[in-house]
Amino acid sequence: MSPWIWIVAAAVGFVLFALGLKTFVRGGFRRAASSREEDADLPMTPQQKRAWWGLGIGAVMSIALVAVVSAAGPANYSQQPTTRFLTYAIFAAGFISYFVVLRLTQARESEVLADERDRAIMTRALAVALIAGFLTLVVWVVGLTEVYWEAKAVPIDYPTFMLWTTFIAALLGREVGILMGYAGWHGHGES
Amino acid sequence: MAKAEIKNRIRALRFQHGEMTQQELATRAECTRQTIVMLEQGRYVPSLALAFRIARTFGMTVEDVFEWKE
Repeated sequence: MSPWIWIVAAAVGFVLFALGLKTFVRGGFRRAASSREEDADLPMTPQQKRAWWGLGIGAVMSIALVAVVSAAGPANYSQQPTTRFLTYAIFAAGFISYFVVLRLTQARESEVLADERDRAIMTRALAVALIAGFLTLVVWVVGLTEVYWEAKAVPIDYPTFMLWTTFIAALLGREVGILMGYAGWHGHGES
Repeated sequence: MAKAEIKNRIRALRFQHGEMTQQELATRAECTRQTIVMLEQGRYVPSLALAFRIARTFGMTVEDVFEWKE
């Protein structure tokens, strides 16, 4: 494989990482210590409740998926229909649970579901999702390259695992970014 | 250039307007209660649109509610 592919991939990765970091720091995720006590009485917004639920569901899904794949063995995973079915079932359960949560955390009649501050926090959280997804890919690429360097080939199941884990890491990263935003973003309204 | 600060009188105005609750103001200004709390604590500066909605809820101009200190 041409080394230029790695050089270009590394350069693109570096630019994405730098952009994410810049948004993260300059966006104002820094938190004043004096504000922590004031936050104790702060009412949770519907988006904040959804982020906590999303984080919980994502964590349970991740643990279940790791348990199923580890029990079967990553190399034998695709040979066993039961394991594949279990994986799909975990994904389906996760998504259904999240849609139930979306329904349960609807804004009450007198409440607003998301205002300008919520939207600004959610936009900034995408930077954290981007970093989480990118770092997951880095871990996979470095790990697989090191492990299968001699073989010069990666087992066919791994690209699927890469896709799932990057997807889950990005989703969890978004929820973490939203919670960090509510904890410490003291910005200005932009609309 | 010196850093400008935007202060507001939202908390005082709520009490002057029949002890309006934070939730009532949030509903009328179309924002969340958390945003009202953050505004009152001076930890968030609203957009012009939200500033106008808050001011109109009190029947005032934006400059009656918000003050720009240079």
